[in-house]
Amino acid sequence: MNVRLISVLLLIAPVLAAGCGAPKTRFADSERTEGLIPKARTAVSDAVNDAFGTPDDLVAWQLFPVDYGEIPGEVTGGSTDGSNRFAIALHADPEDETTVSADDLANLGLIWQSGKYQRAVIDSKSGEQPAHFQVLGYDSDAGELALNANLAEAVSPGDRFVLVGRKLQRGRMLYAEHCMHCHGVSGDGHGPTAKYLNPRPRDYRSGKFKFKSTRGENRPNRDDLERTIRYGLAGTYMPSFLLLEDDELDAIVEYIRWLAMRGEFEDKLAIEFASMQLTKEAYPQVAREAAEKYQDAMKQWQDELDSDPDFKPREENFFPDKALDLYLEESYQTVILEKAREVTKVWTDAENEAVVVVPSVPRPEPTPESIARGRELFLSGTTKCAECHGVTGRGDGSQTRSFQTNAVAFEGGVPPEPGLFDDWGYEIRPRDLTRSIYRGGRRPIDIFRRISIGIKGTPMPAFDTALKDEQIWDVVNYVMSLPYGDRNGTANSNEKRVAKR
Amino acid sequence: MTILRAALLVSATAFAVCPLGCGGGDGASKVPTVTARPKPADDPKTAPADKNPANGETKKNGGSSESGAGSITGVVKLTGDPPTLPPLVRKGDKNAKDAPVCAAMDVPNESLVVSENGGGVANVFVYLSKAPEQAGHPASDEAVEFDQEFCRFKPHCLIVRTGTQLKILNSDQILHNTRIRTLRNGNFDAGLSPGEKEGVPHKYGSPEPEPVRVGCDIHPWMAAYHLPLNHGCYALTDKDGKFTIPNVPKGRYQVNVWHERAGFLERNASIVVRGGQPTQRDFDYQADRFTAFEGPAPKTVRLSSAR
Repeated sequence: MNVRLISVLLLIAPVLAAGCGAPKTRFADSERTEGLIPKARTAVSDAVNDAFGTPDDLVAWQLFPVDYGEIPGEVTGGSTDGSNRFAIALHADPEDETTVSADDLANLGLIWQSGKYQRAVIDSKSGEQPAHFQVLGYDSDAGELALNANLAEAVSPGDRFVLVGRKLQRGRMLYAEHCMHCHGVSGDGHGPTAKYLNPRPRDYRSGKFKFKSTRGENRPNRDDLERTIRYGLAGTYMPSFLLLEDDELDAIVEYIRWLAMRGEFEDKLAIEFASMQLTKEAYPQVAREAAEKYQDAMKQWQDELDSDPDFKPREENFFPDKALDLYLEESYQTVILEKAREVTKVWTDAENEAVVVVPSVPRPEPTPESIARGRELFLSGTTKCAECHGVTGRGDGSQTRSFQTNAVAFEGGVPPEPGLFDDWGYEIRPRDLTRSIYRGGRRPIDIFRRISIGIKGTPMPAFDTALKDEQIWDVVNYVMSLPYGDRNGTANSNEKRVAKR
Repeated sequence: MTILRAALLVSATAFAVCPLGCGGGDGASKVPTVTARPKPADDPKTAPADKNPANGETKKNGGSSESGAGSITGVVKLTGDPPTLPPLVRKGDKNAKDAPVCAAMDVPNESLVVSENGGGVANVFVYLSKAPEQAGHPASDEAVEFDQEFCRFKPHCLIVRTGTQLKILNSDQILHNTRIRTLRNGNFDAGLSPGEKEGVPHKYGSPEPEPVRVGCDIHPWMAAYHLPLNHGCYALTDKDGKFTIPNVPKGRYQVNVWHERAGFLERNASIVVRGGQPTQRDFDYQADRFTAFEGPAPKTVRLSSAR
């Protein structure tokens, strides 16, 4: 009858049917995890999920050195058996005059610190965890807290608890607003905007941060991250976020550290499985050869077989799927804890004052003598600065035109084009020092640290073992004089600009 | 007309109703829930759990040594014609990087070293996947030296136990920058001042499943391989391809054989060690396993006039 009516209704029906539910956000698995066989991949995903959660349902594991934001409190009025409400008093920061509202406490996790429900210990073997309490609601007038689960046994006045996660929540929401479109939901540097940017946004999951003040392979400390966010990186797409409040910046820094720990944790677990050859690439062949090797072993161990009729080579030593089953059953939980502790240690060490690079001597005045010494070092074979940065410091040194064998990014092979590459396989050019744009900061101490620590993830090496602090300061003085012309008047002379007939 | 009005009415209602119901409009501003997970009890510092229970039999078999410990000896051979590899840098080559130092002598290509008679392959890593801690070479407190001279790493291949102090030296009067990319030990990168005598210290904390590559960013031809292990049952073949792993308790083990050009020649091959006597195990491979093409994958160029 009314073909038109029906067709119009058919067009509108999907709109009505689908509704406007919010899409569920989730963290993406890393490439290494995706390369594992399904069973191993699930094992890694589940472990990471248990330890960190999803962007909508965060897990604040107290093991990690992250300041999740804690609000301590005390029960003032007991609850009745089976109910989920009781009166509380919050011990907010005495300097903080604001009253705590229901919004501040929404969805926070609760950990009991005394009383019947105190469970500071979880069984590390089975991973059994105590029931998770979350705030369902808070009536600020009555001072009553409602939990998401009924308390089978009543709590009594005086029981202490702490509400965990306010900072992490705020960090996650601020990150989604300001950072996610470049740095990605998982902090993998693959946000929607990322592919248009050069240099790419930081991938937090590798633990390699370019501009930091901690020596060696240490992670950046909170000051470094805060500095990067607050002032941005000049000459890149990372803007300055000076307009954010201090506590907002704080929350974002914690969230980023949390994301970085998540990435490292996932990577370590994925490496465990990859080293057992449980990757999609290696597994088919190993599985094929397993049967042959088993037969081979049976032949080799013929004597044992003859003497002991019950003897049999262990199947899990030959068949990777059986090995995986046994591993998941017996060792995996211990390994998870071990890897989590490794991540914890590395990020805790970064906060140690001792690893911050502090020059042993103050910066000398940029006298012509100091600059001349710096220039000598810059051009010498001791440092080889000129080989990458060029004789004039324009970033056009000879290394930019030769093929590198970059051990990190290209697996021992040769990159397809000449020039320098960073650890993620992208082409990278040495800094043009004549432009006075210093990405890591333009204070002399920043430039000192770039030379001393190197820039992780790039071919810029660390010179703290090769040069003394006085020598590094001389190079800093020279480098900072470059944008104003070479004072010795030889390298930047105008002679080269004359056309040859 | 009525059809059009009906359609307009329905769609207007749909768009009006949609944002209100249906699970809430904006997901990004929904406050995420937090599940607080307390930290586990501190485990006492026990020996680390077996990292790879999949490989190798456990120490149960190696406990009794009533007939004394055995050993594993053998030779790794290559059958066929190995390629003759030209030196990486020829002596006196003026165009070489840092020619006064790096071209003072020929820098041989050590990626495949085959003995003249017998075809024994040097620098092959032979190690058990898993072994008891006390077996094999004993752990020593001395620091192990890793040097570079005339733009060449010395030694080319090195096996160290985790926790052993490694000292990286530089016997050249030019800057070298040693870079090690590992799976479980992070990345190491340090510039070495010319004539570095004291040595930059380095330690491997975790065993690696495969030898790791050591390179120099400044002199790209330099390469060496390190293997950190958490036991002592390992050996590197000498220039005749011979190896011996001493002091292996009797038992059934799985052995890996690795060479830089071929990768894993044997992975988890079974071997039985009897007490008190050497177990002979020879490995023989065709030359073509060592001659994989190295270099970037050739690009495919499609010639076609069709658009």
